[in-house]
Amino acid sequence: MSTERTFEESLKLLEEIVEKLEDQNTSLEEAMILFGDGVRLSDECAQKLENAKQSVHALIEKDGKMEKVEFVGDEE
Amino acid sequence: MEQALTVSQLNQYIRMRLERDEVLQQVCVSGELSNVTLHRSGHIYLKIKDEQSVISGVMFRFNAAGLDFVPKEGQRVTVYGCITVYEPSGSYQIKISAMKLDGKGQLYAAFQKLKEKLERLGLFDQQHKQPLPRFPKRIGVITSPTGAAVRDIIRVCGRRYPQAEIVLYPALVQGEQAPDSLLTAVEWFDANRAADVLIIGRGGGSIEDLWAFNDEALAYAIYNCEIPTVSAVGHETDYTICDFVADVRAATPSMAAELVCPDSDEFAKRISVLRNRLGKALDNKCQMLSARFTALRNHPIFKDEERLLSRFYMRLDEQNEQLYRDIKDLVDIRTTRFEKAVIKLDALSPLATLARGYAAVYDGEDQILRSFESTRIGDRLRIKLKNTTADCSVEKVEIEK
Repeated sequence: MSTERTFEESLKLLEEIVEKLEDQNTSLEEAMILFGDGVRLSDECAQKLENAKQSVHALIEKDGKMEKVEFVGDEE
Repeated sequence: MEQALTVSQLNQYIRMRLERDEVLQQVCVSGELSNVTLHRSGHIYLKIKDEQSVISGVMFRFNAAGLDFVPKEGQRVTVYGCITVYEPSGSYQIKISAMKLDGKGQLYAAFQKLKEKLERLGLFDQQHKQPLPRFPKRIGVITSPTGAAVRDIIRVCGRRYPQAEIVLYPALVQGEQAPDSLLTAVEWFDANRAADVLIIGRGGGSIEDLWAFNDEALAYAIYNCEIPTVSAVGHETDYTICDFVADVRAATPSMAAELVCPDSDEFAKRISVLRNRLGKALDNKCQMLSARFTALRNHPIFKDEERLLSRFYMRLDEQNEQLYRDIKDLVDIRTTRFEKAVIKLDALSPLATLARGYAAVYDGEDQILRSFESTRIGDRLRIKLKNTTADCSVEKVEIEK
């Protein structure tokens, strides 16, 4: 499992796993694997949610091109 | 002045006095329109008022034709004209030669006109509205880099969905250059696909302050923008062209940020719900399988062991018997065959011959003799006759010719 998945991809995958696990036709062996994957994914999602740090950029013009710089807003 | 005037004479005198007054013959007055009647004849009858006072007015067809707006109740206007007296009713009024909307009123009229035009052209049609992305990775913000709007947006996004990067395009949000500045920003984001969703807006202000957001070219830029747009101009009660043409109108910049950002708390809840479902699904599966297993194990066939086995025992017995019968048959057949063979053999046996009275003669080496040709006198012979044996010695040998 790649760690490069975005949060929303992980969440979508988790939803799919839950649905598959809830499917009556899934074998027990498969279900055990799905369960393990699901727990790992939900940890991953929760972690991503907690560790997210907002990034704010402002665009400034440089040589006719717009460039991103860290935005530091004016403190009131 | 004992002589009384007639009413007509008085009104006539007042009319003459007023109509000769220079100030009253070239008045310019500002006020709010009320009781506007657009008469079929083309004349307009109206009242102009302020907080304390009101004056009637009339604008005849000839002058009314020159108006660049349709007078409506509540509009703030400045009118030019002269005071006239209508003698039959003893009332005075202002005969209006020209009328224009006041600053705000003028802007409002221009706004209305542009709004109606763009609406007619279909720029506000619901079918052109794009849905906002569920999980924006980059939120483009077009507004002033200073001021409350940008702060509110950053704060709300940071609280609800810090996963998303905010890309601010600093823009002028009021003044003559503002429409161009806003338009450039929209087009830059669109051309560079630099965001998944755009918030364009500013904080509250007067209609003049918000005027840049009523620009026609800007409206088209937003309309043509392939990135979903959220307009957030001013306060809840402020409406601009931008609000109508954007995919979503937010009452305030903070609201725009809320509309654009999914809520992380909701995600946290959703993850825990999904996690519960994971556990429950596995539990259910185990329970279901276990129930199936139990049902199978409790099947009568396993319960009644004897019955199950008795069937096998019966079959075993049957088979045994069959086997026994088969073997017996086999043995019987062999026995009979053997007995027959024995009888046959018996018939051929030399013993049987002996029994019939024949004798067998053996030489000294116990070899049976078929002739006495080589027998010499004095040889020892053994003769068997039925069950008896006699050892003899040869006295004479005769060979028959």
